Amino acid sequence: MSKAHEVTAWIDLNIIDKSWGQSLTKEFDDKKAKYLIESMPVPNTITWSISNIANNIDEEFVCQLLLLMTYEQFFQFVSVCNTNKNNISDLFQTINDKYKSKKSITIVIIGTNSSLNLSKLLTRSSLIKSYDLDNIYIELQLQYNCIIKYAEKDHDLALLILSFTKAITVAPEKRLKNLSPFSFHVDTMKQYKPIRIDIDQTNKTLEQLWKQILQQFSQMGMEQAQAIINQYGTIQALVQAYKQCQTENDAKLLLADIQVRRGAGVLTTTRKIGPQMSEKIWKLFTSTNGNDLL
Amino acid sequence: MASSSSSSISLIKPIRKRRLNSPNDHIMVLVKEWYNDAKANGTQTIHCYRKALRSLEKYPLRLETGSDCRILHGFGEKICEMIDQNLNINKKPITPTKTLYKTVSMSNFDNRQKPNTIINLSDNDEDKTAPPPAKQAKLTNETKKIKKTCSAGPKLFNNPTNMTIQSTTISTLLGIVDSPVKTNLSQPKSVQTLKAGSFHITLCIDNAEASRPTQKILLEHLTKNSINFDVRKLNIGDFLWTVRPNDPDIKVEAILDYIIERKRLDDLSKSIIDGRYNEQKFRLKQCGITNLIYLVESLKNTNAPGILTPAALNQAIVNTQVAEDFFVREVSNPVEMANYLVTMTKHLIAHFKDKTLHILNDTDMSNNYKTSYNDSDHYVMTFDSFNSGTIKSKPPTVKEMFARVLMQIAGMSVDNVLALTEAYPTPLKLLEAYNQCSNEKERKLMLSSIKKITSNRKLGKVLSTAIEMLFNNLSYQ
Repeated sequence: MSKAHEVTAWIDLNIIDKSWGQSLTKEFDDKKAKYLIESMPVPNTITWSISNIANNIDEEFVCQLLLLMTYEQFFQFVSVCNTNKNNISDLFQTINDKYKSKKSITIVIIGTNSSLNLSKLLTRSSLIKSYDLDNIYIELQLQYNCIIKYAEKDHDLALLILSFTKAITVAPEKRLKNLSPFSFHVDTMKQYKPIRIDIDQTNKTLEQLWKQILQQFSQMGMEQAQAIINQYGTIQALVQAYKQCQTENDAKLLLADIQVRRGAGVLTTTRKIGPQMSEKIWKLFTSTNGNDLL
Repeated sequence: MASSSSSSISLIKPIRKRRLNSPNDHIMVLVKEWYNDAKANGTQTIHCYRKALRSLEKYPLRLETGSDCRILHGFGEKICEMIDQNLNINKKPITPTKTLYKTVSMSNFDNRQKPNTIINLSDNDEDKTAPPPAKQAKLTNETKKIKKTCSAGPKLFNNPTNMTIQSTTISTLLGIVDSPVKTNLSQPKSVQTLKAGSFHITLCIDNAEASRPTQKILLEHLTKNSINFDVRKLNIGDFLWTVRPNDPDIKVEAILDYIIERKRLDDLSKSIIDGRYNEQKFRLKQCGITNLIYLVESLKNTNAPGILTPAALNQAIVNTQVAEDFFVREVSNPVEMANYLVTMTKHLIAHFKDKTLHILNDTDMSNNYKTSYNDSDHYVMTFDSFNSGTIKSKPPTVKEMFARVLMQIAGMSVDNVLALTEAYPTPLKLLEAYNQCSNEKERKLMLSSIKKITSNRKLGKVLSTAIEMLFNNLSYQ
């Protein structure tokens, strides 16, 4: 089965010219990963494009971007930041401008493998101190959500880029899992098993499904749902009834007065569906805007 | 080169031997027609079409257009053009980008194909044959030179988002846009307002964290740097920052919109394997705090058995950053970690010195009012509501509820529900579409070709029928 989406890494020309970019193409080829060598709007950057056949998305850039620099360049950058408060914002704004979209930027420092080793590379004659580094990290984090990664040699860089490529490829499925309809009502998440509709025979499945659908509303229990479907046995029945209402208010309150049959001996103050629940259901079945809140 | 046996039996075989649900029926039909015509006319082109047909039958993936067929043996420019014409597909102009794609990356073809069936490189190139692997490097360099003189990917760079109608759900899902910042519809009422300068910020450390033997270093470091901290039992997270009014008579306590979860690399490894990592991330996403931070303490020499490989761990860390919107900070030892916390605390204190904090009640907080870092007014929640987990998510939208409704139908997975709700965001929209159909049969098949988002599978006839019955039947008996 063909993949629904494909990811291609776009690597700036200048990178493969450098000593730390030599093995990139080979490693990508070995892993059979897709890539392009291009002259990118900002030199020494890498970004990715994704295409999604199912939704007719030809090819779009994702927001992830890697900005590569050697540790010497990074030290220079930090030292400029000490005198020019706008240095970081200028850089990021330039990147966004050149790419014509807001990028989520990760800085990759070449020549060292961790922040600890980076600080060890500072010498007495360096223009900056290790607390300058600490401060820059925090500022990049708080203001720009910018993470710093490290690549000591070209092999490490290749692996890093490949791991980002893989992450971007699996990201849609991961994000899918975190999306609603799972993310709301977590605390009142009722454990309902989905109902298989039998399309060939007539049986109870549709009726059960209609009842279970109504119970997806919070504070809607079995008895209330049953009371509603006793009056409106199908979705069509309910929708037709809404159409026949004279005013919108009538429709909103259509279900409000339906009596809920409770077991004998159970004392409760509400024996009707009530206006709020009635309105929620009305909203669900009559809204044309998906973003309306229930 | 596929050997062609020209016995008359094998002439007929490819035609009769139809695979069920062949992915390329639409193209096969055309080629077969031409084959039959050639046969009837006795022309030599019969060999071409036979070759093409054989090749097409073996290919298991779907090809949308004639130009896609170029990758197959036996499909040259002419035949692909004919296919496109018949399918009424407008050819896209071949940009330099496309050429380079096929040249530089030699590895985007099906492994199973023999080397000779390599992608035809002759779109715009002089080379008609694919070079053997040994020459690959050279080709790359040459093409590199070509590339330097062309301007890059004109299509994508000049018009970064090609779609005129961007669906934010799909764009967010694919990573094209960052998670969209929620806009505040109205000003929430604050339970309490703490004016700039009237409060102080304290680092709050979880019990379990503080009692670790290695955490002595942290506590010493904090003290050395005059950072105020207190230790409490946190139901989620390891570090956060509490806010208390300077005035001791005002009894309220809020927390800043940041939370840190600390993870040692071996712990991360174990929790990935037993599933706790995912659960923890989920809980962090639900807790109501926007800025979720993982502080990963990496021990460079992890060789203990049963632990994930460094590559796998690194991938997990990158995935967490890219796909799940966590900020991940890696540190190499407890001292570096302590430094990080000290610097972070100092920055937060300095930053919020001139900001006004509005403490919201639980319901308002769950509406996710967000602020930008540099705003002068920020919304925060109380420590108690955070720690007791009473922050609920905001009420669902009609679209989300519709999705929830559809998920009650067996066979409707998250990604086909998403695809469906992209096309029909509300039940009414779906009903209206049904009304547009001219008959029952059309209604029952209306949804069958909706494609899921992360795979190419269609919804199918059965589900389409089931949904039609649910929404249109006048009686469920």
